[in-house]
Amino acid sequence: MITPIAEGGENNFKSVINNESGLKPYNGFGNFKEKLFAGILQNEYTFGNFSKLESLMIRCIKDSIQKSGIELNDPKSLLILATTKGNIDLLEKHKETDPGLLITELGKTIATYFKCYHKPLLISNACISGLSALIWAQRLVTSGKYDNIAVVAGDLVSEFVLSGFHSFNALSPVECKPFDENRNGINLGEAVVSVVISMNKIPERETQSEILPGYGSNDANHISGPSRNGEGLFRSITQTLGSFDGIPSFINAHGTATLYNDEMEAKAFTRASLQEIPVNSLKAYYGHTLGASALLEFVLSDYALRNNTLIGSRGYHKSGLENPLNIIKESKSVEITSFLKTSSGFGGTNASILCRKV
Amino acid sequence: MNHEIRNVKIAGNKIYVNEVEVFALPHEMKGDAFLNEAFKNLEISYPKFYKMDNLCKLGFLAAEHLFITADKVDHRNTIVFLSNKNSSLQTDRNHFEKIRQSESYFPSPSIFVYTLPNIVIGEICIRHKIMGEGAFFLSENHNFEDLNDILEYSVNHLPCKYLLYGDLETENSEHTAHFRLLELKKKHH
Amino acid sequence: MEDLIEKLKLQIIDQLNLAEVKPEDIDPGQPLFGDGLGLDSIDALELIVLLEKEYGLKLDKPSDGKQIFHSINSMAEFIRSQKTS
Repeated sequence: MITPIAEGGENNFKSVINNESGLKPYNGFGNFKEKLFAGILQNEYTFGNFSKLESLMIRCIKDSIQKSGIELNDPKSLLILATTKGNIDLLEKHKETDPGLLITELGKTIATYFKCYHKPLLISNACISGLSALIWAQRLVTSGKYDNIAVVAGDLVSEFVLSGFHSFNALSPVECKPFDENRNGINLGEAVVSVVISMNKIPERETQSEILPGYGSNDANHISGPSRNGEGLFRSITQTLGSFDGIPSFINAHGTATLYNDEMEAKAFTRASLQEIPVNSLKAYYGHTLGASALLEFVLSDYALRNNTLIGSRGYHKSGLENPLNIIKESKSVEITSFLKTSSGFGGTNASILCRKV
Repeated sequence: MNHEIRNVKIAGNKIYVNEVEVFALPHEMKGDAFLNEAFKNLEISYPKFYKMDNLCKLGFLAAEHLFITADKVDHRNTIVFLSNKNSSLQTDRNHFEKIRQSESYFPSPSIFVYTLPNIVIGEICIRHKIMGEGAFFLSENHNFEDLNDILEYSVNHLPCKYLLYGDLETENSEHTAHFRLLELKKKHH
Repeated sequence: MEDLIEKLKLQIIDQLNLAEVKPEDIDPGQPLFGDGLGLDSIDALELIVLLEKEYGLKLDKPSDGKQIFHSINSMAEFIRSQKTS
């Protein structure tokens, strides 16, 4: 993974448990003239004729497949790519007719680079894109269709997205405070993450993790406002926990730090009788990295699982929720056996997935 | 056996349900006019339709024809998987027009919200009270061929009774969609 | 004031894509949200943009919107008070 904090999963995990944040104040971003707090990469890693996002995705995937020893030109390998806006920054970089604006072209560029045997599976499912990709990777690997699936998720900070969220009154001018009584909106961030999902164990790892089936559910309520009773998220969690005989050790929530999202999640967790379970949001470390967010947070939660560490929910001080949750105030060592990852987004889309030690 | 309940095709200013033409306008009629006229022809009251972008209007119309059925079916567990090639590019460009110049910088929330392709799934779910899983995929060819893995898995493994899947595109004032509604009869695992 | 109210009606119909609503259908005293015109949260944000774009007015706090956007009358009053102050 490449984030404003560090490169590589291990480095990011270490920084996060040391309470380091990649969010910084900015006086504006291009034509966007408002003061903002955001997680912006200081190095673009751009090479060849590739765009910023393409370069980052290639760099991440390369690292993942090298470490896992898989080949994408194998008929039993697949690439899944998740993004909300892909190369949308090309619009503001005066490349309005660049074919790379299309996610299908972005997919082709990455697939060509890695000589993928199959066309990549491309997903754009708002803020849960990365989780949708992971859910499909779990399904297509466990059904025997593929032996190995590389999942990459990424999104950039752009004027395009900043101006839109600003028009929604959703941006916080200070560091975001998920689940806190003083939370007042999101910070945007950029990140690219990739993982390889495989039926094979990773030999050098002492502790292995198993991803269990995840499910999605739509609120059928409003295209931008979270459901007041958390219906879709509640249904998704109920289905995901349905065939699980334990209790997750912690929940890594979406926790965007908007008034309504966090309240919605608290309601859904409470309805699912999960209000006592330790919960965190990682948004105050990275901001909302859109299509990358759920995969980024899943991977860090997997590090937390294997290292028996609860990651503190940065930005949280005092409960500002109608249904109080057990928010993890500081990172600490405890025995962990499993976790639940949830995500929700525009379009009323929700999803959740479980991961456990084996 | 899985049973296709209905399929809806929209192309060349015509709407077909199970291959039978149910609505047509002269092909010269361009742009939004076809979508709005096809909506009026349905004779339903749904003012939100006019707030949607073209992709959502198109998806709304296709879904409306898919679900016009005599039997009352509970669609809460229906799964919706849609795809296209261009994502929400047309609306992306509209949003970008609003922020292109710093002296006339007025992003519109009601445009921005449609700069995600999966919003069309949200609109369909709201209209038909669908609470199943939804996902939007990108694919070059418009016949869901690239997404065979998704279909195969859904049909065989996903716990749902109905599956709505299809492709929709609005490009250069041409609106094309092909939606199918399947009833899934699953072997119990 | 009458002129401003008529102008606002047209601007709101246009900005919020209220295709089936005619200016004479809107009672300037009727609530814009809830049972009235049935506007929703995105429309509320769009009204903030309308005030800024057409009248150069910014809300001090987004929460002020509730009172200002109660009806066409309250919007007109807000615009007038800002222009004369």
